[in-house]
Order: sequence, then structure tokens, then C-alpha cells
Amino acid sequence: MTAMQGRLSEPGLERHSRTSPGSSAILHPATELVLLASALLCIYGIPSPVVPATLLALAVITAAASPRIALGRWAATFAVLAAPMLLMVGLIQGVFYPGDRAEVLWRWGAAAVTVDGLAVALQLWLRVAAMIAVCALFAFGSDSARTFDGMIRLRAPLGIAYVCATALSLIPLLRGQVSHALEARAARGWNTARLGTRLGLLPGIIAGLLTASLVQLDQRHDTLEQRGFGRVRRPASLQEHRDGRVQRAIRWAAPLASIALVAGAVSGLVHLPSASEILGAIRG
Amino acid sequence: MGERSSYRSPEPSPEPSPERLPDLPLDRSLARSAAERREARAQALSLIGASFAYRADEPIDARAALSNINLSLEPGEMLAVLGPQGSGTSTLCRLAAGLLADHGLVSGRVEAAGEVAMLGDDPEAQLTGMTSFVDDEIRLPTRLTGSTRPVDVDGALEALGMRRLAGRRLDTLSGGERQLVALAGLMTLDPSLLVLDQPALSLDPSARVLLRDALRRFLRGGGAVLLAGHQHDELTAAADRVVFLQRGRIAGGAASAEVTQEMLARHGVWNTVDLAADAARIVKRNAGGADPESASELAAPAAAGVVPTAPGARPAPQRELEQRDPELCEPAQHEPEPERWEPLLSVRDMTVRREGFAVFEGLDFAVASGEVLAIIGANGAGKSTLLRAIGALLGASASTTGELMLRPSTPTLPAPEGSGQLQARVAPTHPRDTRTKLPRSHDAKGVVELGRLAAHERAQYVGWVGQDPGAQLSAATVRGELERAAPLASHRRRDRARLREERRRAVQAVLERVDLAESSEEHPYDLTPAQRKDLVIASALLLEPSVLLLDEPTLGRDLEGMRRLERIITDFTRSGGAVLLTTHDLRWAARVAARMMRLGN
Amino acid sequence: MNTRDSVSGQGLVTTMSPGESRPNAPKWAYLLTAAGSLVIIATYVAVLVTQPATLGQDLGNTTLWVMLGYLAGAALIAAGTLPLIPRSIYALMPVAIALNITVGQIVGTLTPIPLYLDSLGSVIVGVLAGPAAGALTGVLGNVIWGVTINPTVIAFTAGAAFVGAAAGWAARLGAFRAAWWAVIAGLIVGVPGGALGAPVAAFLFGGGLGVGTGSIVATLQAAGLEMLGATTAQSLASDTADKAIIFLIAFLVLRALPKRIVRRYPLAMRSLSARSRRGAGETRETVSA
Repeated sequence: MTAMQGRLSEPGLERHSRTSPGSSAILHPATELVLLASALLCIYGIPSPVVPATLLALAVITAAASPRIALGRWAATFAVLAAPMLLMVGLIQGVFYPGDRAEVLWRWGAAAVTVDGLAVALQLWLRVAAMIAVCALFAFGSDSARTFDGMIRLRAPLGIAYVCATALSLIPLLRGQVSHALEARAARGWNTARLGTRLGLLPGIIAGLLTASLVQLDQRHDTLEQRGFGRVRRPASLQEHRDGRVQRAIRWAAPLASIALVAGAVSGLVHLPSASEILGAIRG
Repeated sequence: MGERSSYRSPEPSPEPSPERLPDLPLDRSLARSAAERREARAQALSLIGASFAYRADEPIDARAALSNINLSLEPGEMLAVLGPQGSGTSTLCRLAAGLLADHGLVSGRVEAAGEVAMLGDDPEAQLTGMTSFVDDEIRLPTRLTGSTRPVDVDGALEALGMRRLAGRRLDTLSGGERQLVALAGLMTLDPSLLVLDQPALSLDPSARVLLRDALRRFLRGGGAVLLAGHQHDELTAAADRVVFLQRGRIAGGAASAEVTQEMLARHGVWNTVDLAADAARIVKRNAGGADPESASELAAPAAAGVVPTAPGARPAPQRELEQRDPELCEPAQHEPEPERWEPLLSVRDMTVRREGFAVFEGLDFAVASGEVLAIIGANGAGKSTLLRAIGALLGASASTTGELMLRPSTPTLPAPEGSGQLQARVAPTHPRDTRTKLPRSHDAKGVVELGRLAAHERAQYVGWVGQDPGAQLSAATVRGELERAAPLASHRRRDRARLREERRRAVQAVLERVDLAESSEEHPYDLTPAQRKDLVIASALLLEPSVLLLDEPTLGRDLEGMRRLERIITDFTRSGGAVLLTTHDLRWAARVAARMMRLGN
Repeated sequence: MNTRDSVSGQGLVTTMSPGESRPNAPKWAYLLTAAGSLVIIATYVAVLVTQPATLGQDLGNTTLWVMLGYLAGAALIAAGTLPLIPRSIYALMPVAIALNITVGQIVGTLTPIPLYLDSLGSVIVGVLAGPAAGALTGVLGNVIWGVTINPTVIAFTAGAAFVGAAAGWAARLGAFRAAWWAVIAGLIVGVPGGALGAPVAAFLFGGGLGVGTGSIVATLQAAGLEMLGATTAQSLASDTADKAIIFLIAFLVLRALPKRIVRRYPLAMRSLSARSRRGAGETRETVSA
């Protein structure tokens, strides 16, 4: 819960300006990472559909409110990733739920739409959807240097921080290489505007892409070492980020609060309505 | 055996270690006398019996990448290490900068007095992926040392005359600009030794002069500079001493002022400047004949944007240059006779706009069969854009207007006797239409309106070779790359085997033409950069285009590589083709090209 | 060893080579790795023993324990493998991770093929630089994949680590010298790999993650199997085929990589046949330019 409130208070950010890149972001990337982890813990730690539903709603609001995140792109990503899962889990558990005492709504041969099945399906999906929603928020608001700074701040080992940050920056690199490869083919007489030709060239392009990106990343790492990467264990942050006592407090409070919440839920001290209770309430 | 693999801790060992890891781990375990130590202090860099081998466990013979290198560099001194490709110049740079420990076996003594900063050779590889803006990139080296002190970004750029780059996105910079930005960042660390691997590689002459001046200031401040490369250029000419490297060993050296053409050629180094030592000799011989400052004369900014010299006319200084280059191969092209001069490719009123800005406007020029046209101009003047525009490879972000006509060459005359061996191997080159059944869309007079064709349709007329060969390669072997480079002509199924066989033969011929036959089973990335470029040229030759578009074909080539390139170009123009090339090597351009065209405002 | 021959006699003051000897990796590294594996196995056994084969209406805390156990184990393994990994492999790891993610995402969740193909990158790294690097790639890949695109895979981190490590072990045993050995190794690795993944798929995601794998689970459940049984059967079938294909692809990729990359990893050089090895020896000079 705290996690999402933290993210919510993230107003518009112009991600880079010449003088102080990233400074317009309210949260330090380390804080964002901590909040993300706390949110994930809450989603999976508390067996109540209320938690993922709330987080999902908060994520939608954040995405809509934050100018740093293009709502359309965020929503499209969310739909592409969450929709197939909804479909499959709905089909498998909603229709083929194997429980014995399930309440059957509609039956056709082996297929039976059961209340239990639908409840399981919906809950499973809600969790995954909430996770996707929250993670997409982070992914859309970050770049390599930002992720790197966040991880270094959280005392991640240099190598791991490098790998994670670089993996995030690969998409533009790969996109560039695909366009280079297509251009090179066009310059040798392949009609790359035709879909059929493109598909035919695809295996070769992908194989080349793998080698080219390996070589290129190797060079980048080499270049980074020339700039002094790896000489000290904890480099200073590459961009300037806002940080302060409040954020430091959030970085401690958010995980502690979510652990407490989860512990409470597991031990029964904190009680959030479970799916059967909600179903019972609906039925009256 | 695999257990002895390169398992090295990515982190310093668990015992509490100082904030900085040792730059040169070699220093520590060396038992040295106090006197030796004092001597080493005085040197900015000292290599004593230094050797390096890539893997120890490879089934290789005893050749090391570097053997028994003895070098020393005092503060305020600039040393240039020159040698052909594969001689170990880049490896030496890395050794001096302490960047090799992870890559193989270092032995001997490598000592540096203070901070060493190194700039790598590949302008395409100057992006770290960690930063997106020039300012961040300049701060990067400081930040990576763990320091949060403010960095004077503008000052660092100003020192290299590149203040205009402040605030730009890195991916909008040209290769040369990227290198300068990277250098500006390294300079903010205030290093005592600067190691620069082919720094002039993709810089235009004026940027080279700016860089040279910046390096001189750095030297006056007590710094030392180690340059390395395969070409003798404005920067290495400004060094105090030149050392030649051959097969990983030091093969000689001289004071910079005493370097001669013959000396460079003997060590396989390409020369792009007029040498003081040679000039002095010629002046003596010609009884005081004025030394034509060919390069600077040609480089002088012209009034109009484009100054084509008269068709068929050759720049005046050429004869002198040839006299001074007894080592180099014959003049690259046979001159078209003026009265028969007919344009093969003509460009009329060409304008390219990118995001509303005109890269160049109203460009008019033509190039004839058998001719080489060199396009020169500062970094960012639009040279690459022009070549791409001719190939229809500019993408959606740019718009091209103007007329682009091609008159495919008539069958050429047989090559002069005794000089056509190269060509004989690829016979028959002409007439073209017997070779493939690709549709050739020209009108009755044989004129092709290139401007109306898409990129893939232009490919059979113009062969584009981009600046970064890596971007145009994808197969796992050289031969595979060529066999799949271009589509087979449309055919019936029963003809497929025959076409494949034809392609195989064509590939073999073209491999021999660019001297890659011996490396045909290598991975393209295992070739030298120059060979990679030759491979891309070979893929263009496979389509037997009328015009070759070569973007910076001379980058980083040693003497051997330059000769190979000249051979390829001569071979192509002799068979009736025309070549458009961009280069910063004005001296070479004056020799190889009939005409030069300057782009820029 | 021709090390000594390759450097001229005098001036050999010190010799530094990453390949000379296995640097004495700290004991805690092995302890951490072992502890991580134990946590994962314990979680797995506990889930099998204590849980009903089918999820009830209220999801309960199973998901939490499975996720925590697997993630904690993976984190321990990651921490333990760090000191065992050659530094140069960090440069290649991002590509391997991207490969895991893109192929895995496309094949695993968007197409009706009942395969995953989401460990290609870890297997390649494992073959190049050994089991530790392979395991770390698997762990990081799944975490990054989870955080950026598809959080469900975080729960499969343990399996990913296992596959990456197994590829390294297989390479040490010489399985990547011939194509059929690679395929057999893949089939063998798929069995524990599938078994590790099944409880996660069942209890966290109801078996319904990918279009292809999900349909198989649905069919099996319709045929009367319980949730865990159906998922396990599907996992075993899919994983063995999946890993065999991936190992074969890795075998081919290894041979298509430029020597200037492969040469750095003695393990990978051993996986190449004698012929390719000689090729590498010849090309090394060009790269030193």
C-alpha cells in the first residue's frame, strides 16, 4: 500500500534536461526499486483479492497522472502482457477446474463453469495483472543510468548493477541493429519493403543480430572500462537525482511495512476479506 | 583444464581493500631497488621487457601479441607508436593503460606514474550505453571514480573546440565528434598520461589541428601522450618521437622530424601528411622549388558550397606527390580523355532535408565512367548523407529532391596489357545482361532514372558501402556473407542449382579480387577492420554495379590496406565503373581521384 | 603450456594470467551456493508434501512460500556465484538476458507452441563461461524479465538458475563437442528443470501462463488429472523437448560466434572441435591489431 502511494506522489518529470538530467524526477531510482519490491511482496504475500485489485487501480491512476509515462503505451503493454494470461487462466481453471465440491454454474461434457474455478482464475489473474501494471510503471520511467544509480545506491554489486542496467538499454540498440541490417539488405537488392522477403531474411538477420550485439556490448563494456569502470567499487551516481531524508525513510519504511503487513496476514492479525467472503457477501 | 579458466573475482577480494583497486596490478609484486623506483617515478610511463599473450592455453605457436617491449615516456613528451594492422599497436595501448589483465597473460614491467586515461580506436564503439547526453558522458569518468565533484563540462569541450556539442544527444553525433566528447571526458580526470589509439581516425583535418593544439597544451602542463595507429597523420607528426612496431616487437624508431616516406613504407605505415624530412630533400633537389602545400591548399574553405574541379583536370600538386611517393603503387585511375568525357552518374539540383533542415541544397555534379570523385568536407557536412541519398538509404526522417540519372556504361575497352590480371579473373564482367536476368529498367537510350527507383532496385546500379562495416554484415563466415549477400535473380526451380553454382563462382572471384580468399572461412568479426570493409565492398561488387559509393574507405588502414583499396578501386574503374568516395585523407584523395568536391557551408 | 615460450626469456618479472590458476574462490561462495540450492530443494519438497494437489477457492499462502523460497534460494546462488565468474562475461550477459526475454516472451506466452525457449541466453553463457555464470544469467534474466515485462517469471527463477548451471556442467563434461550429445544433455537437464517449474506453474499461476503450455494443462485436467499432476506432466514433456532444442541451438550458436569472443573462455574453446580451435589460433593475431 505504502508502495503505491509513494509512486502516486510522482508528478510530471521531464526525464532529461541538459544541466541536471533526471533531476526533475521526484523519486530517487533506489526508492522506486524499493517500492517496486515492496509492492510485489504485498501482492504475493497477502491472500486477498483486495490487495492486487487496489494496486492495479493505483497503478492505472499513476500511469494516467504521470506525464513521464505515456498512458497509451503503458496500457498497450499491459494489455498485450495481461490479456493472454486472463484468457488462458479463465479457460483452464474457469472451465476445467478439477475441484470435487465445486459449485457448477454450467456444464457441457468435461467442461464445467464453476464458481470456484472462476474465483481461482480471477484471483490468479489479478495478482499477475497487478504485478505487470506496477512493473511496467518502473520500466517505462527508467533508463540505464537511472537503474544503475538506483542499484548502486542499494549496494548491489557493480557487475550485477551493470548487467541489469545494460539489459534495459538493449531495446534501442537492437532496434537500431535491425534497421541497419534491413538497410544493408536493401542496398544489395533485397526488397525489404515486402513482408515475404523480410520473413525470408529474418533467420539470417537474427543470427547476425546476436553476434553483432554480443560484439557491440563487448565493445561497450571495454569502452566503459576505459572510462574507469570497475576501478572503484561504488561509483558516484551518473545522473543527479533528488534524494532526501523523506526518501531515505521511505526506503526503510516501505519494505518494513509490507513485511509487517504480510506477517500480519499470515498470522491472522490483519484480516483482509478473502475471495469466499467476498463471494458470500455478493450472494447475500 | 577448464578449471584454470579465467575465474577472476569481479569484485576485489574479500579482505578489506583500499577504495581504489590498483590500476596496474603488476607493480605490487615487483621487487625493485630504490634507485629503479626513483627512475620509474620520473617517467610518465615505463615499459621494461613487457610482453603480452592472449590465451596461454591455446594451441598457438610462440607468437605473443607483444614481445619484450621497452619504452619510456617522460612528462611533457608525446610518443607515437606506428605499425601495420596486427602489429600490436592497440594491444600496446591497452597494456599501457592497464586494461589487459583480464584478457590474457601479461609479463614484464609496466609502470605509470599517475592516472592513465585511454581512448579506444573505434569511433562506433565510443558509446557506453550508460549515458545519453554529451554532458553526462563528460561527467562519466569522474563519476566512475566515485567522485561527485562538479565537472566543468563547457570548459572540457571548449579545450577541444567542441563547445557547440554541449547538450546534444550522443546518438546524434558523428564518429569523430563522439571520440572528441569521450576525450573531453577523460581529460577532466586530469591524467598524467593520455593513451590515444588512432585518435585522428575519423576527424577532419581542422578537428585534427584542434586536437593537436589541445594535446600540446596538455603536454605543456606536464602530461605525457602515447599515440598509436596504422597511419602517420597530423597528430603523430606532432609527436616528439615515433616508434615502429612489427609483429609485436619494436622494429625501430626516429625523431618525428626525421621520419621519411621510405621509413614509413618499410614499416607498413600509411602516410597522410607531407613529411618535413622528405620535403627538405625535394627542396634541395629542385633547387628551392616551392613545396606545394597540397593538403592545406585543397582544404581551404571554398566560397561556394561545392567546388568541383574541371572535369578531367587533375589537381596540380599531384605530380609532385607522386615523385615523393616512390614506394606507392601507380596512380590509381586512368584518366578519361576530356573530349570523350560523358557522365555515367549525374546529379542535378539535389537537396536533402532532415527534420526541416537542409543538409545540403541544390547539389549538381556528375561522374564519368572510369573516374573517381572524392567528396571532402568537415565532420557533419553531409558526406555520408549524400552517398546514402544516392543509394536511397536515408530512411523516413529525410526527404530527397532532385534528379539522379545513370547512363550504364557501354562495354569497356580491354584493360591495358599487363595490368589486367586482376580483372581477368572475374571475366566476363560485361556485358552485364548476360550475367543476371534481373530486370533492368532503362529507356531506349539506356538512361536510368535512379531517382524513381527504390533502394533495392538501385542496388544493381550503385553499390553502397557504409562507414561502419559491422552494420552491414551478418553471416558467420566471410564466404557465407557473400553467398547470401544479394538475392538470386528470379528463376525457375530447375535453374536454381545452376544459379547457386554461378553465385559460388562469382563469390570466389570477388574474394580473390579483394584478397580475402584465404580468410573465406573466418568470421567477419575476426577480420581486421580494413578487411571487414573490403568484405562489404566485395558484397557490393557481387552485383556488379556501375557506381561504387565508398563512405570513408581509408579509415584506419595501414599501407597494405591502402594498397589493397587502391587496387580494388583501380580494378573497378578500369572495367568502366565510377567511384564516389568520402575521405578526410586529402593527400590520398588528390592522388586517387580525378576530381574533388567539397561539401559544407 | 607454451606460456613461457611465448614471452622472451628476460624481463619475465611477474606473470599474471586469469587462466593460470583457479583463483582461490572464497569458501563462503561455495557455501552460499550450496545453501541456495538447499533452500530451493527444501521449498520444493515442502510444497509437494504439504499442499493439496488443487488450489482451493482461497489461494492461501502457498504462493508466498513458493515464491519466497525460490527467490531466496536464487538470491543466495547469485551471491555465491559472483566471485566465481570471469569479469569479461559481464559484458555478454545483457545480450544473453535479452535473448532469454525476447525469445521466451514471444515463444512462451504469445504463440501456441508448448515450449518456453526462455533459457537460450543462460545456456550460451553457461557453455562459454561455466555453471556459475550460467546460473547467474538465469537468475538475473528472470528477475529483469519479471521487473520489466512479465512478473510471472520471477517465480521460475530457480529453474532458470538450474538450467544455466546445468549447461555449464554439460560443457565441462564435453557435451557440446557434438550435436547429438548436446541434445541428449538437454533431454536430461529437462527432467529436473520441468519438475522444479511444475509447482510454481500450478500453485502460482494455475498452470495457465503460456498459450501452448496452458492448453496442455487444460487438456490433462479435463482428462481427470489433478492440478499439480497435470502441470507436472506438461512440464516434464515441454521441458525435456525445450531444453534439447535449446542445447542444440546453443551448440550451433557457439560455432557461429566470432573467435575474438569465444577465445576468451577456455571452457568454450574445449567445446569446439580441434578444427575450429586451430582456426582460433590463427585469427588471434588479427584481433591484436
